[in-house]
Amino acid sequence: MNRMVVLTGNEVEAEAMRQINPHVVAAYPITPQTEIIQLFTGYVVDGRVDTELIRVESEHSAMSACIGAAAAGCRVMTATSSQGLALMWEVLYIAASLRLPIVMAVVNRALSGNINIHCDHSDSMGARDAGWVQLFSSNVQEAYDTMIQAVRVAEQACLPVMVMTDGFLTSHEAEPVLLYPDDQVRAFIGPYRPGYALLDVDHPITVGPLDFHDYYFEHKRSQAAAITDAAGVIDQVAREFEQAFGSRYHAVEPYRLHDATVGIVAIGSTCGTAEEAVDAARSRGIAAGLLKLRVFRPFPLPQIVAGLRHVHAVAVMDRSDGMAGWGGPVGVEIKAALYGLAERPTVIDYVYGLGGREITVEDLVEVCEELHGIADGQDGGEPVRYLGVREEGAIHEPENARREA
Amino acid sequence: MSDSVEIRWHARAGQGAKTAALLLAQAALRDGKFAQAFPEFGPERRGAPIQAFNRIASHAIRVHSGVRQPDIIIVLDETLLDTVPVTSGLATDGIVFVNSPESPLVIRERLRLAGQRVATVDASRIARDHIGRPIPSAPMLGAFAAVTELISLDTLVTDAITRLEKRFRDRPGMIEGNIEAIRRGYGEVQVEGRFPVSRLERLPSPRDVERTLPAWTDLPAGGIIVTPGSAAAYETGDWRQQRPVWDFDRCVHCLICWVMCPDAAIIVEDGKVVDLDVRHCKGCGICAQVCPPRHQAITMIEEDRQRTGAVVSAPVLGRNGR
Repeated sequence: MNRMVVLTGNEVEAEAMRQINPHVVAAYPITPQTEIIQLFTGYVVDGRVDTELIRVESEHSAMSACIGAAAAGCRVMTATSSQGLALMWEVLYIAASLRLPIVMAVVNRALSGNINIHCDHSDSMGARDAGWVQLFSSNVQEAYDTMIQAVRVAEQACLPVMVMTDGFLTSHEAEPVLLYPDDQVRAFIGPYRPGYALLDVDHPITVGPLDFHDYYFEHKRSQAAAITDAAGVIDQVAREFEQAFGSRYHAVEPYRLHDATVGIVAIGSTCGTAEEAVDAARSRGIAAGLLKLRVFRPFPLPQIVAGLRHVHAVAVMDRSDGMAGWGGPVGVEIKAALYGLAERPTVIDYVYGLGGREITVEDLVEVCEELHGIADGQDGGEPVRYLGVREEGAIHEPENARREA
Repeated sequence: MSDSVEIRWHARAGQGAKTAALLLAQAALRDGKFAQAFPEFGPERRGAPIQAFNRIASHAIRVHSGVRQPDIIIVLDETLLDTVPVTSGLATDGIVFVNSPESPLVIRERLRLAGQRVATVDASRIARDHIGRPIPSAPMLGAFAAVTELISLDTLVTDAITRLEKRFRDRPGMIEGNIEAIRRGYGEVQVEGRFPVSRLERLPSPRDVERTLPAWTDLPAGGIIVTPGSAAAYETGDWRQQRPVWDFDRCVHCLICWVMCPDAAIIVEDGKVVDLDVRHCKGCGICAQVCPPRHQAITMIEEDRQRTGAVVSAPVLGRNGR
């Protein structure tokens, strides 16, 4: 029987891992991911899973151990955040290049410095070119459902998958969530049958050999095809998930967008806030809509073009700054996606929410109003804007006055 | 020759070809020309055949690909004549320099060259005489200056002194030795030429070879190798500059060498060392290092490549002359 319970994002991800019962988990704790591994370790200790839990001395080692275990032929999972993901950087590429279906929960958190433990997307956006499938979830139910789907996506596409939640937002907020019975989850994911495995001693293989100009490029081309083809795998798994559990997931999910003149593109927990803002803007006479980006890698180009082509102005909400001199990575890619259209919407990139800076419904209504001004031709302005940052001339209390008070 | 000259070096890793190409470029620069020097790197180690490239021109050089149709070829190791197609792509008026005690005519026969010019100098012997080690690059550069006049002897000597002064401040003899080696290469080079015929056929470049390999769609995912034996197919024996010789009066067949050999090149039958797999022994010397001190049954001896040609494949095991 399905159970409706109130749990946090971290709790449901640990619950999904318990149900999936992977062969190997290698992980290192880091805020705000810690709870996932803490809870899962409890399941290991209590004998509720058969998993070989490898406690390592760093995230670099965690991912390295995952790679070894996956190459050996195991179903492998892990979780990390922020600096932990950054420390994995070089091995992330190896996991993807070796086409190992590792599933990793990434609880999004800002990168240092300065030291910050709160949400933004700098960590996973920094890994966007590593060759991993990247799936974002905007609430606790999505986090749970996406973890389950991720196992199938990884094993069918032969690619590692990151499942993102927003640190201290989705990860720590408790929401009602529908949990599925263990046997149904296990039936959905099925047994893991690797194409090749190092421990299959009757069929010896070499993994990760020296690969020079005679073969390296072909292997990269093959990897590029795999990430392209993963789009179809994600959709097929989503269809089967709908049949098994009733919810239908898509790479992008539009909200009141079909008749909109202005659109917001968002990722993660901001999507729900943006839906509220769209409703509020519509009540003020602005035909606003939202495009929720659930899959970021592979980049869902056709769905994005189809969703936004009729809109006059688009706000891309970027929860990280690409430090490229022209905004964040999502904005850059959305602009590139729309380039092929003869008539393109004006795209404004809004960098927001860095280091956990709160984003509110009012902020996003304001964005809709700015877009409305652009669609009207009143605002031709800045293509890259920083939403919610203190600008020059802002009034703030002098430091000394506060101390004396 | 045109105002742009392309040069290809053939050597074994460790013979100084990369540094010699760099010195040549520096000397050309000092003589008012534009120059470029770069080696072709592989996974190989000391002893493996390598190439290095120079371009010397009166204008800025913008091309960065390897030299496939050289005007000048410099061979630092005579044994490469038997294993590497050193003259491929040589220009009609091209020159081949070979480090060899033989006359240019003998080398011409060995290379089956109809035209072009051949220059030889016994660079290894000169180097042994003056530097104490068979590093043939200094005398070869001297020979190059004498025949091509692309760089002057004075520039070469001045550059060498500047460079060596830093390294051998305490050993002035090494500087003098190197200078004398350059001068003797300049003086002793023999050159012989024939009426040009045609540019030699350009052998397949790496790009040409790569085109014959499987398409990306035909490769296993993840770059794994599913067929065993790829290491056995890679014959590292050609890298060898020293080889192990066993003294079976001392060997107790403890087989530590067999365990430690990185190329599985020590052949054991019935618990005893019986032979060396010369196709894979790359002469690293680990076997001699790990042989227990109280036995010391393995000695590394120099492969005498210059005199015997290619690597000897006859059995090498024996009583070590005792």
